[in-house]
Amino acid sequence: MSHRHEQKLLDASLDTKMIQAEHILRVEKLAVSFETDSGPVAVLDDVSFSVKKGQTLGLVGESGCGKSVTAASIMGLLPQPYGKVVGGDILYQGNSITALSLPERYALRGNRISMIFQEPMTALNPVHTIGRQLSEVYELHKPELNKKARKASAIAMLNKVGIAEPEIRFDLYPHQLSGGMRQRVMIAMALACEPDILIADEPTTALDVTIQAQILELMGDLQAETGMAIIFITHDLGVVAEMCDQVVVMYAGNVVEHTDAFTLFESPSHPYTQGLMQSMPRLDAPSKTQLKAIPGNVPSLSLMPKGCRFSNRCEFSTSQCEASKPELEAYHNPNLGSHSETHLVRCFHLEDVNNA
Amino acid sequence: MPETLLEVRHLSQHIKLSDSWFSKASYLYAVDDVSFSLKAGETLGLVGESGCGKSTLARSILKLMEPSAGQILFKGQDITQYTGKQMVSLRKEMQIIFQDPMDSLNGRHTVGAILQEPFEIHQMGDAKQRRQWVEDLLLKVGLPVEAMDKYPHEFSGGQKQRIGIARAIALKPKVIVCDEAVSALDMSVQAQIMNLLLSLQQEMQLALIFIAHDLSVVKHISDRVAVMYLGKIVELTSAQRLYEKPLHPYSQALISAIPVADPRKRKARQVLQGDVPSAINRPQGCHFAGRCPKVMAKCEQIAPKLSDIKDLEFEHKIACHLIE
Repeated sequence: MSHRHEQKLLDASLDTKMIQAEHILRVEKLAVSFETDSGPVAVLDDVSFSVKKGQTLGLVGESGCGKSVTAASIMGLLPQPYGKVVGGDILYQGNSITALSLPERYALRGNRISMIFQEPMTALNPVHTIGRQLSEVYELHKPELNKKARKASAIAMLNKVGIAEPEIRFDLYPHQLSGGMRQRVMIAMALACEPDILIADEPTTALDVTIQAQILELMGDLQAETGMAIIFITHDLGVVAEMCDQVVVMYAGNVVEHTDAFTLFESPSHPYTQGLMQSMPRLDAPSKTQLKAIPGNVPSLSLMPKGCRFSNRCEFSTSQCEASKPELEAYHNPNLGSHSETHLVRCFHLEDVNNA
Repeated sequence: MPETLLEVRHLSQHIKLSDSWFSKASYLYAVDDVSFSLKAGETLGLVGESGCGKSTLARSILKLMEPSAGQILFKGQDITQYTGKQMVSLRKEMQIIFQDPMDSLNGRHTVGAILQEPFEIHQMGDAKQRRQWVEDLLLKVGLPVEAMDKYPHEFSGGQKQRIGIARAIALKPKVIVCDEAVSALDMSVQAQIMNLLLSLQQEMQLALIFIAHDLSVVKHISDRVAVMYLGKIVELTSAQRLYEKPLHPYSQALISAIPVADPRKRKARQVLQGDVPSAINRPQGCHFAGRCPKVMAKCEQIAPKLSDIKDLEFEHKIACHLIE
């Protein structure tokens, strides 16, 4: 082997290592099942994606599609004893985190990977001041700080998330704050330890559009500052277009489409993604016209179609779709110009769907 | 020209908070001097941030709350002073659909019983006729006839909302208030329900008052839209015009805040700072002055009145000192 060739091989392996390092979190073929009275049901089936540093990944889909269960699996918060990871793996910085011991889990959760929720009122403790709750994060993860330093850090954090007069607000209770303000406190708590990954589960769904705009702006600013990765869970395609670099579209526990935001909105290729986009009322479309809705409802998990999980609502469905499961595969949409990003879609009939 | 079905004149809903011998009574100004009219077959959208009085306004119009001032005219008749008994017959004409159908459908009754109740209250038809009517209703809202013998919990969110709609249209009303009727639904189901409302409206010449916090939804279903802020209407015009050319700084901020589903159109938005002030201690002058990017000295002194913009061929009302 020539010296030059050897060097090349070394470079290549360095490259893959770099890429692995860049992907701070990888979810690989994750399968989660819930134990029910009538046997186990597959809540997640073959969910794969990865998140890079400084990037925002959107998880989109309707209720019951598995967005929140995916987040709970990453956080190690699956409902016990019913929820189990039955297949696949979750890798944080290259190391599996599905089978961590409790102390290892505590060291990770809230410290390296944090989460914020839709309704801050249910996530914040109503009988403690926000200052005390925020200080608790430091108490758990930075025991070296004394009480005074904790308070100072907490106030600095409140200031950072745009809460005016943080010294006064430090002593307030959650009910004394507005919804937008509470969400800011949640964000302050989640970001107190400067995590690598922030999982945001519908963080703006309960807020008014004006407050939503404030919170989205804040999240974007904080991401630019800290370089954290964000996993943004939402059902709102507008928010996805606004916030996300990469998008994972989920339906009934499957990833049906995965690509960058530009490709997704320019050429949605899975029939479900297309259906979602068409059923969304648009500001630039004429009023009072019938929308193209997806017929039917998401089937309950125990009554899931055997093959493609979308087959019973899909207009392109054939006997093949009912019998066997399509894989998530690379696809190049002919309607799309020059994008070279990877575009993964789970469908047997992509040619028919996208030439129609 | 369709007739004016409903007219609201200077309607106010001031809710008394404390009343003791020792302190002056304080009021929550939920709705304050609101006027508008509604024609048959028309949809009026109500938008605004939470707490702006949208739902209170809707409830006052149906007299589910007694208004504290102003008049409500239905088909030219002043119904403001109607007693509970008089209202019963009027309820045939005015109905409401709520956000969470599970809260408004009795879980212990079958869908058939729920849908028959309006006919029983108004003593219409015999048992056989009622059953037939219920069947017709179910078909009309896209549910199978077998749904009659099931209970509400056996249905999905979208189907429950269909039951809520079936009950609302049972007595062939003229006006339906939809209070966040599609807000709790998933996107694909939301589209189904909006389609249903649009086709029922056309078929029955229904007038709708449509309240939703999702501005794209309101734009899609409405002919005219009223923007509310802290109990007052600040702008009222056609849906098309409001979204193309909002004139009130608050409407501008509200519309600019809507996320657009196109990553190429990511924009530097006009982010409105702060929260809505309290409806108990309202600022003097224009209520929006504290958050308005174009505030003038005058705004903090004098409250602007909602008035028509001069020399326009269409309706465009606004309450702002910038536009006279």
